[in-house]
Amino acid sequence: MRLQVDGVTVQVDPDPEDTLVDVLREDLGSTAVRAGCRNGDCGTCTAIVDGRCVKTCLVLAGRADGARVDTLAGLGTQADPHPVQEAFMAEYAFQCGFCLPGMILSAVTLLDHNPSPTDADIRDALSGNLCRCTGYVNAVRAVRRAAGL
Amino acid sequence: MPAVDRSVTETARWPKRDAFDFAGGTALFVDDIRPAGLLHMAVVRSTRAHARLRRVDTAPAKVVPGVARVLEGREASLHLHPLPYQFGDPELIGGRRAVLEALPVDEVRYVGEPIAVVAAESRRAARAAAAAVVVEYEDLPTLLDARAFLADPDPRHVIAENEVVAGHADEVLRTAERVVRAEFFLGRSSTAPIEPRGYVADWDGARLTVHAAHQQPFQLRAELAEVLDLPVDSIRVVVPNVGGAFGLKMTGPVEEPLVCLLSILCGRPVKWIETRAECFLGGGREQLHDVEVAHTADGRLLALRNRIVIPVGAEAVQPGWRQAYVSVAAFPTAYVVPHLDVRSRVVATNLPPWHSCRGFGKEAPVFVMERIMDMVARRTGLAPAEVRRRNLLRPEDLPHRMASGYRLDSGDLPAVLDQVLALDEGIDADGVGIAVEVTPEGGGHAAGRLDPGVTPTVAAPEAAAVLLRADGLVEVRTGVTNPGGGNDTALARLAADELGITSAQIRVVQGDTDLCPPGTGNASSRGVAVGGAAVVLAARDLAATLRDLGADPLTETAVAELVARHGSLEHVREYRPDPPSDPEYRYSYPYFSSGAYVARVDVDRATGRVRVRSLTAVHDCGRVIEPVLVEGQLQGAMAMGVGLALSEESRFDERGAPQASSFKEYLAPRANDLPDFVIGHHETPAPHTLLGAKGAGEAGVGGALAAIANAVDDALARWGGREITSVPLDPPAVLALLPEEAS
Repeated sequence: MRLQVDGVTVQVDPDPEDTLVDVLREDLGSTAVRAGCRNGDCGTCTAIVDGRCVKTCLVLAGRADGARVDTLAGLGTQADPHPVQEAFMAEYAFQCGFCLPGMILSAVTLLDHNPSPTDADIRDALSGNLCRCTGYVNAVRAVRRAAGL
Repeated sequence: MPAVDRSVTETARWPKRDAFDFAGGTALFVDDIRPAGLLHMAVVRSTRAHARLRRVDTAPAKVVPGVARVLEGREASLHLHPLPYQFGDPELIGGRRAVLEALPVDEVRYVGEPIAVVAAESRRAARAAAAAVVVEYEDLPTLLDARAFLADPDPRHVIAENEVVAGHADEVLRTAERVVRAEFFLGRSSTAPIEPRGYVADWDGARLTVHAAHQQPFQLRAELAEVLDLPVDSIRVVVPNVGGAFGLKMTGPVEEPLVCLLSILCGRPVKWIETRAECFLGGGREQLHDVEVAHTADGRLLALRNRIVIPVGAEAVQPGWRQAYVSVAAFPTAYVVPHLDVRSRVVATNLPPWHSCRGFGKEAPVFVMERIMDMVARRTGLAPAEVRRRNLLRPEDLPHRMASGYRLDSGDLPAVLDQVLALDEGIDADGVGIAVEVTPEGGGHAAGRLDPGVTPTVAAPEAAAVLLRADGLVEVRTGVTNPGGGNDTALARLAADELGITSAQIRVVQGDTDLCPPGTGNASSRGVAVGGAAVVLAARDLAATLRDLGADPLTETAVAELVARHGSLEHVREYRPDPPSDPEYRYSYPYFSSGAYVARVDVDRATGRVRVRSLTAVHDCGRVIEPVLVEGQLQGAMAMGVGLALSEESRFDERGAPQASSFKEYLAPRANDLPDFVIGHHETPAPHTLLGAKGAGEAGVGGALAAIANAVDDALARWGGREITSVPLDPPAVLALLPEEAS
């Protein structure tokens, strides 16, 4: 099957039981999606697949044939980080950083659809992503900051 | 300051060092390590809570395609020595010693206990082979919880007994006019970091390299050396970035020697990444307290009698069961109670063994004492804050020798309470609860037996090396590790300040037993207060040497010349907090952090659902080195405390099978379950540490838990509900406390 990952076209030959997170991590060596639960609870495998923010552990690899996959790694660079990345760094919105793929991509998706979210909007948008380090306080602050609120 | 390029300044540009590694998705965690020839381990686990192993047939697993090795208990025992107890001898804290092997030969003691391990070419093949192993059991009687133990208190289940006694509590209770009696219960819970445990073991024929998501690389190295019978210096443990730990990732789980043994037997690297369901087997914190308190009409506590049963799961060498000791020794927390009689029985059950859980046994005493304060307030008609004021230790009482021998070194508890009451914004809510918390911290080792003539134990030391690199940067190597909380940021800041340079010019090396001086890793809230002090001393020595060489201020060219002429000028120092001169203290914890909390909650009487409206804290962790990081630690601990109060519970069914194996059953708080926390600081420098810093890693769990429980209790009381005596307060539990007409 063929995928376009962060703008690069790749050819992979996954097992039929593989999920997209397996392909990204094990076949392509991505460190920008991670596995925390493998059943859609924690969100750290999040990527943007054909424009939709999804948990890649819930996508069978075969279903993603031909898809465009954008991960956290393609979002911004150290010299020119995405505003959400910059806000998360500035607000100390993560500690161990393991949950960040889902946190940041969910926040980006929220702001794409709703540039002026309320705190409740922000908390709902992040609610698919578990974090055990921060209590989410600074993550909410970071999304507010990225929104310019 | 010399000119430094962007890649150097980037390190210290944000509150967390090297932040873009994480925000950009390039940071490496243990599961990202894939050496050539890698095999994957899977674990065959018991489906019975207690049974004799009649037969373990590995033959069907060996023929599964891709399988390299299958290992059951009998064969493993030929290669492995018994597992050593972690954090010192169990006898030191009144515990009994068992001989514990990595894999059982005759008997399994809990659902999920490893019976055999498999190494295969892929995770899937390993799992398929593990599923193919045939195990025949002969069931044995089980003991699953504290109440079952109390119904038939068979002493063979008791693995430790602890007591803290002062005065004559029984006498006072017999004659007292006002006595409160209650049975308190805390459910079993876990830590559940988003990254589970994981290891990559690589034996090259002479040396074993282990990459591990771990809190204690040196302790892991020592354990592996003993169990595998290898020289310590033939083992290297390397800790990459760790995705949270909260106590889970300390030394002792049996998979540690097993993944290494498979690598040695196969001559290939072997990886084991715990599944989420496996991660949810472990837990801790469950306790049953049967309490009687005598108090005066004006709300002063006279006596406290407490009989505690602590079911710690199956016996294990990992430090989890030791939390039971701390739970007893921490009574009566922040308060003066003239007559105290607290006794525990620590009971081995047929549930998975306890692992360390953030709070380390201190959350239960805080919950019990804070519920008692509110119960006394309700019975005397006094305000909850007033009852606390009348019983709190005052600054002039400190240092205070607790009945356990712990030294409550410093703090200002009444001021912390007043400060949080002032900070609380007073929004209208169904219920308001307050809590005061003290957390003994910084030990990093077992509490020692306090017998006449026995020298009290002292807190473990930490060490640091500080040296110059030829590239002009200063390198700090520390025995302290970073589970994600960012102590590298504080350590870099401390070294930079001593040397008169910027944090960007410091490189921090942690978690590598080949490179770093030995230390306790990440445990007991001591990374900065103890580990940081060692860094300061070593950096001071380097600064003095540089001054002697006329090399101050440090410039890039000067450093290059210096290194060429004198080498790296490495300075190594060890630091241990000053023990008290009075041998009556049981010097397990050199400092106490403290805090006070106010929670406001709404309770839906139709559904029993609790919504946290606000949670406000004032925290005293001594001198604050990095305010943003300290606040972050507290935020995370408070969220965990809310979870323990309302939703987090590791449930098992009547056959001992886990009922909370995913985040769908184990309900960790999500972003829309929590409010913004409000946090204030109160700084009482620790008098017996170099930096005046205390610990910030564990405070907040018990305080938030107790404040939320008290707030829910306040709401229920307004509607005639029964008093809260157990957590978690999930909707069914709340509804059960409400009278029918109220819901």
